[in-house]
Amino acid sequence: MERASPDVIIELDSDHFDNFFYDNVPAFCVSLAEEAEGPQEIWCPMPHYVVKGHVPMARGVLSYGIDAHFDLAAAEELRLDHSVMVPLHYLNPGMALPVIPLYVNGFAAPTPTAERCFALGRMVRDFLDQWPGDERVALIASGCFAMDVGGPLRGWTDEEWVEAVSGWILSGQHRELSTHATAERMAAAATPYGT
Amino acid sequence: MSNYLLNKILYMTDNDADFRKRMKEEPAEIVQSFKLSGEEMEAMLTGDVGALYEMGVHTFFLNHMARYELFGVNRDNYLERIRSRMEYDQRFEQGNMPVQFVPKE
Repeated sequence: MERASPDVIIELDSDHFDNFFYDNVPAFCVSLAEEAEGPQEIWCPMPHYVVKGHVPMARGVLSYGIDAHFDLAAAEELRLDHSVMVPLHYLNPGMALPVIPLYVNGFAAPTPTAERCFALGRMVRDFLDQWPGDERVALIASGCFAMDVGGPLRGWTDEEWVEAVSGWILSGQHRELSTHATAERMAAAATPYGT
Repeated sequence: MSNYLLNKILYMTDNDADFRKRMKEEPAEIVQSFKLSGEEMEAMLTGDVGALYEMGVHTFFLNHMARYELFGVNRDNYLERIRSRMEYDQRFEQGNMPVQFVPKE
C-alpha cells in the first residue's frame, strides 16, 4: 500500500447482516456516506474508527454503473462491520485515506453469479479509467474462500477449493474462477448462504 | 411458518442493544410476541438448533444463539445440537467452535 501510494480506497465486501436483512437485500450497493463507523459488532475486539467516504467518486460509480446497466443500490448511511474494518486497520492506518465501501451480496441466497461479480469489477475499472480526477485508487476485496460460520461443518476447511481459488486469483485466471465458482460449488465448500 | 421471523429475532438480538437487553431479561416473552408456529416457538425456546437448522434458519443467525447464550445454547453444545438431525459426516471430527468475544453490557 505504501509503495502504491493511493489517494482513495474502494473496498468490495459482503455485508454480514449488519446493514441489510431479508427485509431488503441489495445485490450490489454503493456507499454514498460522507463518513461511517466501525466495527459495528459488539463482539469484534478491535479499535473503533470513523472512516471518511468520497462522495463525488461514490456518486460517480453509481451513475456510471446505472448507465452501464448495473442496477446498483445506494446507501447514504451505513454501518461498517468487521470484514470492512479489519483490512482497513492494517492497510489504512489511522483511516487516513477515504474509503468507498461497495457491497456484494454474499450471504442471502440467491447471490449474484461469479460472472456478474467479475463484470462489476470490470465496470469499476472502466469507471476509474474515465474518471476525470487524478487520484490514485486502490481496490481492496475483503472476504473468505469458504467457512461454515454457524454451520455444522465449522472447523472443517475445503482445502482443495481454497487452493484452487488462490491459484486462479494469483495467476489472474478470472475466467476459470468465474466458471468454477458456482453457487453449488461454494455451498459444497460450506459457504453460509441461508436457504 | 416463518424463517423470516426466526431470522429476525436473532438479527435484532445482534444488532439492536435494547432488543438484546430485553432478550436477556425476558426471552420467552419476546419470542412469544412474534407470529411463529408452535413448532418454531418450541424449537427456539428449547434452543433446538438442529430443528431450526433443518427449518432453514440462516447459520449466521443460529450462531448468535451460541454467541449470546440464548435458550441454553453455548459454544460447547452448539455443534452437537446443530448436527442432531444430520447423518454422520466424517468432517464432523474436525469441528470446532471458535471463542466468541462478547463484552459485558
